[in-house]
Amino acid sequence: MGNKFVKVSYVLLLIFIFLLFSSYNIQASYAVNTKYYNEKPLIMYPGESKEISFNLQNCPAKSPECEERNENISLQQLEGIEITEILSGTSYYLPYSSVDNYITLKVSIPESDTIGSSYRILLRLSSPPPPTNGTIQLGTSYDVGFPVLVKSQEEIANLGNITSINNESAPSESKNLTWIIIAIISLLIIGIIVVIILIIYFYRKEKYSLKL
Amino acid sequence: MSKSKMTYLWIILAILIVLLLITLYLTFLSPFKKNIGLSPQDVSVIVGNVAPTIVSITPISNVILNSGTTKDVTVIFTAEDLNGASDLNDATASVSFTKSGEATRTSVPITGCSAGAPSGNQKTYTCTVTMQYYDGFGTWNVQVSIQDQATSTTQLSSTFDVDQLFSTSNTASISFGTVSPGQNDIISLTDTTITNNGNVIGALKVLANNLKGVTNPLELIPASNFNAAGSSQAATVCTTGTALANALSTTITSSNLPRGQSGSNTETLRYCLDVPGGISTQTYSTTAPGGIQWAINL
Repeated sequence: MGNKFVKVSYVLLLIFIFLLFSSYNIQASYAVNTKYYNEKPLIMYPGESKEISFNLQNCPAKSPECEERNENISLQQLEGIEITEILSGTSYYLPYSSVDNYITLKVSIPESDTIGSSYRILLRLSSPPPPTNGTIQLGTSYDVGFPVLVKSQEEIANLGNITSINNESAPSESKNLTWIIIAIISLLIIGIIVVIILIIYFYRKEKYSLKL
Repeated sequence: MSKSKMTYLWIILAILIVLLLITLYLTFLSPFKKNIGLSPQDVSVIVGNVAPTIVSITPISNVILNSGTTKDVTVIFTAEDLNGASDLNDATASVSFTKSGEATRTSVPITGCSAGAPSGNQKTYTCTVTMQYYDGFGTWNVQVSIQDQATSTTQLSSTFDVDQLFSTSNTASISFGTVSPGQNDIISLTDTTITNNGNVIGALKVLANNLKGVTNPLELIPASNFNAAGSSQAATVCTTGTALANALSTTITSSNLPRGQSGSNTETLRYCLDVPGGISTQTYSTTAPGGIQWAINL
């Protein structure tokens, strides 16, 4: 009986040594920038090819939020493969505190595409977790996705012509006062001239009538 | 014409001349001229001050924010004053960035802009505005302004775009402690804290995989035996949490990663495990042969 109890205890102790210990390592602070997203699609015309890039960073602030280590990032394309070619490869080495690495894609719209058609490009960037004692290791991944809209060249040109520059001047109080003074002086001078003309006119008229 | 009418005209002329002399005296000679708002600068205005204009703003290319820190954005604009470039008040040159729902970012007063050498009636100003990693992506309005020595202000506005910045950090593993076959509702020992060092917000996803046995990799704990929940449903993760799936990125609907300055930019995930019965005694892990790590997916 005692022997059986020890055996069961032993089994229970071993049973599933499952996960177990969590190290407090912090996973990743790599980052990716994208200028295209759902609200700002990539717009191209049939037959056009364009290279676009995505900036990669690895803890540029050297903040305590991220560990001081270099990162190896892998890139996977989940959607839009038919129009996309990855020019910069699928593996990226990001030195600690770097901000100047780029993913470069070439996007090509088939000549035969119809105006108004659309695609979606979806990229997944992943980093492996650092070695830890934990049983479930957690990495960090980002899904960077955006639509590609096919428009005519004219439509694209019109979009480019939209400008939003406004020029405004706010006159100061002193400027307003200056104009008031100038107006007063001008009116006075004009009034003086008119009165002088009237005086001369009436003076001559009176002189003429006296002669008669 | 009667003599009386001529007299009236002479009187009117005298009054007008007196008024003119008084006006000229108050304008140029009176010691109280400042009390009527006429400073020395106003005198120069009288001889033809023209409000300055801003001729151009150099287009600002897409702003790429820096993860977890600030980003200095340079704005260059050219101002003109027909009274001469020296009439531009360099200390009043300023730039502000605005976007609905966002904190306004402005150049530092007085020292935030530096003036270049005059070129004719123009000067070019180079200004710096500091943006934060959590500033919203999308189109921002930029407004530049400057005054002349007579405090006439001119402004010019334009727009620029801020890119999306994906950047998170999280603790690197999950732990549950020792568990038994068939044991249910086991809560993870520690929550996973995810910190947003960028400007992308929304529900988090967990890219889960089956845990494989370290000794016998043919045995496994399916990813679907795990639930995950954000902070809003952490207390009920075992009942209301989202079930994970093998090799899939599952959206944790109760999670919401905010953006903002440190302290207001985190979300936590908690996990719940139902251990299957009938599996052997061994360690099950993502580090087992053939095992695949999990990932927090934004």
